[in-house]
Amino acid sequence: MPLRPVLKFAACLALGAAFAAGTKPAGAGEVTLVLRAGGLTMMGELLQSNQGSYVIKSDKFGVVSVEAAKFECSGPTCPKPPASTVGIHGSNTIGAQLMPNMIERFADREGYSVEKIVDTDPEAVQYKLYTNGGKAAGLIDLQSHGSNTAPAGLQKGKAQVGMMSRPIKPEEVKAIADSGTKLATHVFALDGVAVFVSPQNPVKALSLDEIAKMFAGAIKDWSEVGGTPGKIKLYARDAKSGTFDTFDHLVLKPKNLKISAEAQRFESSPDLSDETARDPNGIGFAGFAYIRNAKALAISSECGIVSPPQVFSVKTEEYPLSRRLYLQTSAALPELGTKLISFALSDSAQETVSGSGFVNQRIEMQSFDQQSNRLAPALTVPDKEFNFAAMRELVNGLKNAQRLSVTFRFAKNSSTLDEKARADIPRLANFLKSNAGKYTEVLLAGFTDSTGTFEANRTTALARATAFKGALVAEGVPEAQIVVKSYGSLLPAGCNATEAGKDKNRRVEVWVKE
Amino acid sequence: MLGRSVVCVGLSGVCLALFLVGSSTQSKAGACEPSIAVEPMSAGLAHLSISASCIPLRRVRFRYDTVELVRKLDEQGRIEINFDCFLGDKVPLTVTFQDGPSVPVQLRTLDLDRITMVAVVWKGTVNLDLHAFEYAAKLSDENHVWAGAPSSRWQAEERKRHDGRGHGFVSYASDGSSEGDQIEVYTFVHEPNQNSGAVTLALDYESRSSHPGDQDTCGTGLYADLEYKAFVWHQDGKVSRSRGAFAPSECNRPVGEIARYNSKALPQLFFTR
Repeated sequence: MPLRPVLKFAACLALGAAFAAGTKPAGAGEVTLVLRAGGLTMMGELLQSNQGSYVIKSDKFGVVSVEAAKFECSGPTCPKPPASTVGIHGSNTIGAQLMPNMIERFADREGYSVEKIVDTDPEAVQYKLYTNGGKAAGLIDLQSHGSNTAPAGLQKGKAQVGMMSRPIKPEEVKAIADSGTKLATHVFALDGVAVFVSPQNPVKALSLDEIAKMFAGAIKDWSEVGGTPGKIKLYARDAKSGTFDTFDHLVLKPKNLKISAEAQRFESSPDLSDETARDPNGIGFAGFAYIRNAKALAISSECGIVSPPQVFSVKTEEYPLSRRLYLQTSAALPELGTKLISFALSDSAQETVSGSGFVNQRIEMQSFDQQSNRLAPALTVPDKEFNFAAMRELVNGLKNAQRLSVTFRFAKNSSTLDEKARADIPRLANFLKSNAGKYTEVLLAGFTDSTGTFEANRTTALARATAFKGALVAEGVPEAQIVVKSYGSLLPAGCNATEAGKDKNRRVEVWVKE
Repeated sequence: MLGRSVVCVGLSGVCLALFLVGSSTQSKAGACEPSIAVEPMSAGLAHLSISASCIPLRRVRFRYDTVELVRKLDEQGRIEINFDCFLGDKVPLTVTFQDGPSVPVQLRTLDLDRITMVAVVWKGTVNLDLHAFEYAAKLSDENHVWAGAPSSRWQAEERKRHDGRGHGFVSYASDGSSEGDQIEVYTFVHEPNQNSGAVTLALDYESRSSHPGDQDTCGTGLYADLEYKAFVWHQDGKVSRSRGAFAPSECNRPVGEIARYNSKALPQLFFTR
């Protein structure tokens, strides 16, 4: 491995403050080269900018050649970034370990060797890709400073891929569109926001209400929630974070609460998790992949549904703090980026997703017995429309079946599938076709939230399941294999007292019988 | 970390396998019959006992795939080495004696299926330190494992027995003064029943972070964008390789703790639930 100097000009040049001193504004046609690591700025005429180097003629240094990758060039004669430069900016949840693993796996499959450039900014890493012959194949600039930085990167053209651990907001879409950039949205992986404590903390479960009050500073001591007395220390992601945004949206805002100013904020999810794990009085939250050395808590909702953080309940999106991780791609994505994203969304990449600690989109199964913990809340939650006969029918219909982890959700009073559901239809159809002959019956069970009468809800649920059946048949699943059932508001997956809970309840579950 | 040695002199014991190498060589010291014995050890180690009495104080080069380590024979022409088989024991090791023959050696070790081994290799007279922060350890904790906190496979096993979780140790630890490649190796001994936890591996460009004014490692210095390679031996027998480099840094700029221990430079170890 030959050693190579950074700059190919005389090494006796002084650095630091001397470089900043005596510089003058660049004139027309002049460029400014700034060492990315800082400490060196050169202004002058750009004589050449190929073969990975800049040759600049400056009053101060004369004619010098520098390595282009190490310098930011600004000015009218600067070359445009090569087409094979891909900027991937945004979520630290995605960028800390999932995207790096995906890039390395992609490079391996494509036969590229990778050189990773680490900087003093721990959330910025560059990946240089080389062909087998050692020729440069592209550069990936990965910056993981939080979901809120993704739209800005896309808007300014610094990024062609935005990593987001929350849905993009309408105003962000508009700002990007106004800049002339067309976007496409992809569901990259599934995740849950885990609420965790130190393994030394005896608490095992908290309600959403308790969590909200703790993070707002209204509950200050562990003894108030059944723990060992001690002042609660709060650890939270920073305001640029999509994880914080999700937590804020699902936990704090429904209670009209704001995060306490005493919370210690982190840009890095792994650092936050490890700090929480070390602190017996700490509580923090981050994506599933970052539970690491901490102890994740089960979350109980107002209506008695207790959800331990489990992969299956994230796949069905029934874990109360489950969420989707998104990639936003711009139309300006170069070929290298297109291939990377295509791989990242493929079946081949799903192992890398789960291997990185996230929840992949492969279909899994659970038996009725494994799902039976859902029955108790369904029986105990007061519901004026509860129907015992229908419940008996439900249990008889499902007790010998296995539930698949794909669940299809709908907008309120609608039979229109959402974006993930549309992508899941071919995934489910392929699963069923690849297991042709194994399952005698595919049961589509329609459910609703509790708004409206039981019979009206059954009608709505039937319409959803029937529409969904049509979509599956169109994908080549034999019609005779599919049975449609409607159970209305029975067996809620979330609390109907909240909008988020109602969203989870408007669904079609898929069960199979052998 | 200064003053560390990878060479164990005077280690006695009966070799389980002895490979006498009968190469007839002509050297300044006269005809020699160097011998190399390989003894399999736990934690992915192979103990090499090398004797070439006719060529004392000469250099010996150990070629293991693309990595070349250089060590020196003692006055009796001997050297004892615990060799980390971070690419497994199927990859041949070639031992080349200065003014002497090149000898292929079949490595042997005992339990590559219960360890993960991470090796960092670089060239140059600068020091990198591989740090393992086991289970959210802080810098001063016992579970912060690195060359500056003496550790061994026995200590790792002892910590594993104590808390029921896997632990590791740093074996090879170069300080930049060796000839050939510089190398540090962290070996993690797995606990089979463990299903959670994470070990943060970080790389510290010690020469630069301890001496921000060192002209060789900052600004436009020869090692300002130091390259390194990382090899990971996985329990399942797979080996992953990666290359990295440090971005150049302004001279005399102090390096904060987060930036100093860069976890993005290396793969991370974590155990899913």
